[in-house]
Amino acid sequence: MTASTTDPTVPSPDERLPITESQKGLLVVNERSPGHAVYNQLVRFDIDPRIPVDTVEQALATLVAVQPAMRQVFGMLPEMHARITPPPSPAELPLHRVTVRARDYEEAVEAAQREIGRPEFDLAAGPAYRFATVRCTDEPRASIIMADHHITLDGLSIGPLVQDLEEALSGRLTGEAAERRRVAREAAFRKELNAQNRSVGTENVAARSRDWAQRLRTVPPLVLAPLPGRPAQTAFTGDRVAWHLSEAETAALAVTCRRLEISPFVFLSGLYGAVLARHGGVPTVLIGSPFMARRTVGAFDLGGFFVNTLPVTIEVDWTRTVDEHLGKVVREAVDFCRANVDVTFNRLVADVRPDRSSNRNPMFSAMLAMQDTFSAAPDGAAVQRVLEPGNGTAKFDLWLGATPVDGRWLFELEYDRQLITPTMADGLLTSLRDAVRNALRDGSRPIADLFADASAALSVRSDGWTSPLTGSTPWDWVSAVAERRPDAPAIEDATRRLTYGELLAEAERISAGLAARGIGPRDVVGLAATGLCDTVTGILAILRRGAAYLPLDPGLPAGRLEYMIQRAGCGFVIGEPPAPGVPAVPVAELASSTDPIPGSLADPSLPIYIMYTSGSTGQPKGVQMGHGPLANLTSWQIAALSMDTETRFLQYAPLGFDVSFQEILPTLAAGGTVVSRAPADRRMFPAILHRIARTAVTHVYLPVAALRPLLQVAAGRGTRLPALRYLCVSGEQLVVDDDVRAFFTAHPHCTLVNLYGPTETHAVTSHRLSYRDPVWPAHVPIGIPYPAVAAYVVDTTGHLAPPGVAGELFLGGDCPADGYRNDPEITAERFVADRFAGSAGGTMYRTGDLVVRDDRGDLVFLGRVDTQVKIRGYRIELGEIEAVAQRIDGVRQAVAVVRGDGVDRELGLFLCPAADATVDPDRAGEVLAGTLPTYMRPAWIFPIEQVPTTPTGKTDRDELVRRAEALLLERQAEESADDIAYADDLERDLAALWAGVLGVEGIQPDRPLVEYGAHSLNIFTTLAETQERYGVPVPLVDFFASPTVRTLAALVRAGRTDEAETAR
Amino acid sequence: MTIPADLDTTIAKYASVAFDDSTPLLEAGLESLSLLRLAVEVAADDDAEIDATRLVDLRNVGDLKKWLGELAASRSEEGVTR
Repeated sequence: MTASTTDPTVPSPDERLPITESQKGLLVVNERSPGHAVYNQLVRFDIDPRIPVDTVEQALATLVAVQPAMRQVFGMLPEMHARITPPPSPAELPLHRVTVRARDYEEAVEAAQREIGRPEFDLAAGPAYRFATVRCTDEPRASIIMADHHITLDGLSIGPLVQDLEEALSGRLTGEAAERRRVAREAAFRKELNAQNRSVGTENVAARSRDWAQRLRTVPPLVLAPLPGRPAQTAFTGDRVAWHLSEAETAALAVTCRRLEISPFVFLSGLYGAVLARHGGVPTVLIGSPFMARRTVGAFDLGGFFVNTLPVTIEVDWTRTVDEHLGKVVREAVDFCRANVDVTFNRLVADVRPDRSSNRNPMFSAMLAMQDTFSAAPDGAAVQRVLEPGNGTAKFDLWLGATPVDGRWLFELEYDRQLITPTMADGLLTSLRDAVRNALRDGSRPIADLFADASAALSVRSDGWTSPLTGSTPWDWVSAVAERRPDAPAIEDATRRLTYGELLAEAERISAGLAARGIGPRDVVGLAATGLCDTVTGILAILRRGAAYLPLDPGLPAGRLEYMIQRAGCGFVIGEPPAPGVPAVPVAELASSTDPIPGSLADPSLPIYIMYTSGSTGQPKGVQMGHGPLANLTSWQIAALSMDTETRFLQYAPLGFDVSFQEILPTLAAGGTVVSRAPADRRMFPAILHRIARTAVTHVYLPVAALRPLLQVAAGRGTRLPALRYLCVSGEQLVVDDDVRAFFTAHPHCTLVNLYGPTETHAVTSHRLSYRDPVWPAHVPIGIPYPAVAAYVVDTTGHLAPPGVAGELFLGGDCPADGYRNDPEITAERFVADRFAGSAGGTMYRTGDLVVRDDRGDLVFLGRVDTQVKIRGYRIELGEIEAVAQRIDGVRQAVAVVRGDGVDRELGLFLCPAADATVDPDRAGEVLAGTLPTYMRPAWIFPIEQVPTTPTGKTDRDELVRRAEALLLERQAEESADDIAYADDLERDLAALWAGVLGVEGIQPDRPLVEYGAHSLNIFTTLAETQERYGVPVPLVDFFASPTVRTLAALVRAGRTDEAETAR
Repeated sequence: MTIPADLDTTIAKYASVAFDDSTPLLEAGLESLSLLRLAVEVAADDDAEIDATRLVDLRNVGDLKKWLGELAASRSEEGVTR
C-alpha cells in the first residue's frame, strides 16, 4: 500500500469517524465529571539513556504519526464522532523536558507525571496526549513519560505502542517506512471503527443482553467501607497501595494457574472477588474488567479504545474450596463474559437501568485490569521497562491493577480517597495478600480460610475509665457510703427523702421481712413497688438476701407479667400483687418486721436481676445478669461520668429497662443522690425539663427518641440547665443535628454520651461529644468498649473484621449475662464460646447487630443483621435521611420508615412541624431530591403532629407504618386519572423532544426519563441537542441527579436567566 | 495460505511447553493474547475479522489449529470469518 491523498481508505482531517461504543460511554463520563481529569492515564517508559535527545523526540513524533488513535479529537453533534488530526512535527509535540541529578531522579519523574498528567485534555481541540522526558546528568538513566486520555488508548494499546516506540528509538522506523506505516495504520484504524460499529446491534446480541441484565439486577451493590455519610458523588481523588510479589510467589502463581487450567486473570478475579465479598459483606460481587474487543486483524497493531468493559459476576460461597471456586465457578463466570464480549457495556447498562444519581460507574464499583499486554524487553532493547503509574485519581471505588514488572507480578490497589481511608486500603491489601498466598499454598481449603483475623487488639481497646469499688456487691458499696456519710442524701422522691443511714436501715428491715418469709440466696423476687424510695430499698433488701430482683411494671399486660413470673421461677413479690397465684407483700408490711435483722447474704457469685427483653419469637426472654458484669459497669461509669458525692442522677427509665440500674446503683456507690422523675410524667417533656431544672440534677439518661423533643422544649423556653454535666442516651441510633449541638454549645459544661449495649450485656460501649468537638457526625458512633469488655466485629468469613468491614458484633470479656433464665436452648444459641479470647472458658454474646469500625477505631452501628433496611440491595441509613430532612425549615423532627416487601419495598418519611410552622411535603421532597441518591429518597412524605413511641421510649416505627398504610389508601382514593399537566410550553416541547427520542407517548414531567427507556447515551445526545436548540448550557450532573422533563426545563430556564444576567 | 503442518511450528513460538493437539491451551502457556497474536500472524490479511466470542470455545491445541486454519483460509475467500 502506498501513501496517497486520494486513497479512499485514508481518513481526511475533515472526515467524521464513527467512534466505538466504549468511547461514547467515556465521553459521557468525561462530560459528567468536569474538572477532575479522571481518565487521564500515565505510562512511563525507561529507555536506553544513550539514545540522543533528538532521536527520542523524533521517535515520539513518529509514534504519534503511526498511531492515529492518538491524534483523535471528538465532536458531539449530530452524533458523537472523532476526527484524525495531521501528524505533528517534533517541534509541535507537547513535550516537557527535565534534566536532573541521580539523587533527584525519581522525584523528578513523579513531578513530571503530575505536570503532564494532571491538567485536563481538551478532547474537542486535541491533542489528547502530552510527553515528558527525564534525563539524568550523573548516571545513565532516561525516561519518557506519556500522559493521554483513556478515550484514545486502552490497556491493550500499550503493547503496539511499545513496539512502535522500540522501532522508532532504535532507528528502524524512520522516513519512508514510518510514512508507509502511518498510511496503513490510518486505513486499518478506520476499518476497525467501521467493523466495531457494524457489529453493535443484532437481535441475538440484544436478547443476550436482556437476559444478562436480568441476572445482574439481582446482584447486591458492592459498598466498600459502608460508613454513614458515605458520599454519593466524589471528586475522584485517588491513591495507591502496592504489593510486588516475590519471584517464588510469581512462579507459584503460574504453577497454580496451570494446575487449574486457568489464566492469571481468572485466578485474580476469583481472589479479588473473595476480598471484595469479605470487605463488602455480600455473597456476590461484580468486577468490571476490560475485555478485548478488537475485531479486525489489522487492529492488533493499533492503539485505540477498542475494549469492552464488562462485569464479571463472582459468586462467593465461603464453604467452597479454593480450587473449585477458581477452577470452576470463576472460570465459568469469566468464560461467560468472553462468550458475550459482543454485548457492549452501554447496551448492558441500558438494559439493567441502574440508579444513575451518583457520579460513580453505574454497574460496578470495583475494577480489575490486567496490564500484561506487553512482554518484557530483551537485553539491549531501547525500551527497557514499562510502568503504568497512578495519577492521583481513582476512576472506581477500588481498582486492582496487575502488572508484570521485572519478572514479578506487581499488584496495585487504587482507591477513592473520599470513600476508602488509607487504613482501610491497607486492610484490603492485607486481605488480598493473605488470599493470594493462602490460595497458592493450599487449594483444598474453604475460601473463608483464605483470610485471617484482623488485629484482636482493636477489639479490646477501651476508653480506660475505671474506678475502685469498696466491696464486691451493691450492698457492700452502699453500706460503705452509709458508714462514711450516714446523713448524706441518697434518694429524693416526689414526697420523701432518704439519707444513706435511713436507706440502709430500711433495706435491712425489709430484708428481715424477706428472711421471715423464707427468701434467701438464688431466689427470684418480683419487684412491683411504687415510688423511688420503696423501689430502691426493695432492690437492696433483695440483694442483701442473696436473691435476684425481677422488675414487674404494673403497666404491662397481666398475661405478660404472669409469663415473666412463671418463667423466671419467681415465688414472691414485693409490692402490689401483679398477677394471681404469687404471694405479694407491700414494702411497708415487710419493713415493719420486728424479727432480728439477719446478716447479709449478698454474694458476688449470684445473679443481681432478671430483666425481660422482647424476643424475636414474640415471647420475652429473661436475661439473668450476674455481679461481675454489673460491677465492671459501675466501676466504668463512676469514672467515665465523673460521679461522686455531688452527683444527682435523674431516675427516668422504667425499672424493667436495664438503664435503671445505671441510674440507681452507680450513683449510690459513688455517694450521690438518686432523684425521682415523678411527679413528672415520662412523656411530658415540658414537665421533665422543669423537674431537671428544679432538682438541679447533674446526670440525665434518656432514650434517644426523647433527646430532641426535650432539647427543643429547652430551646423554645430558653431554659438553661447550669447543673447538668452529663446527658446520656441509648436505645437506638443517635442522630444529632445543629439543634442538638446548639444545646451543648450553650452548655459547655455538659457532655453528650451515646451508650450502646443490649440487655444481655448491659451498656458496653460509649462515645461522647461536647462543645470541644469540631465535627459532630450526624450518625453518632457507639464508640469503644469499657475496660475488660471485648467488642468483636465478625465479618462474613467468620474472622475479626478489619476497619471499614461490616460484621456482626460479638461481646465478650466481663459483660455477658449468665444467659436466659430457664432457657438453656436459646442461651446456648446466643451465648457462645469466645474463640477470639486466646484462652478457654470465656463466653461471648452474639448481638445480631451489624457494626463497622471507622478509621479511628470507633464502632458504628449499622442496624440489625437480620432486619437490615435494604432497598433494591442498598443498605439504607434511616438516620441519614432523617438528618437531612430535619435540616428543612419548619421541621421539628423527621422519622423515616420502610414499608412493603421485596420489589414493593419503599421508603416513607414523616415530618413533625415545629411550633407555628407547617410542612410542605412537595417542597421537602425537592430538598431531599437535591441531597440524597435516588434509592434513599422517600416514595411519600406525610406531616405528623407527634411521633409515637414504645413503652421504653423508642420511636414506634411499626405504628407509623400502620398510619402510612391508612394515609396512602386515602390518597389513592382521592387521586383520579388526571391529564398530564405541563407547567409551560417549554416543558411540553421538551417532553415532545424526548417522546421522539424514546418512541413513547405521554411523558409525565416529573417521572424519571430512565423509566421510559432513557440511558446515558441518548441522554447525552438529547442534552446536546437541547443545548443547541435553546442556546444555553445544560449541566449533565444536575440533570442526572433528577432526570425528568421538569428538571430539564428548570435547567434551561436557569441557563436563560444566567445568560440574561451576563448580558446585562 | 498457511498449511496445517506449519501451524504447529507457528504455535510453538508462543507455547511455553511441548504440546500435541489434546494439550489444553493454558497448560501449553497459550493465553488469549497469544491466541490473538497467532491469529494476526496466521491471517496476515489485515481485513480479516476475528469473532472474539469464539475464543472461549478454544480449549486445546486442536481447537486452536482448527480455528487458525479457518482464519488462514478466509483470506482467499472474502476476508471475513463469520
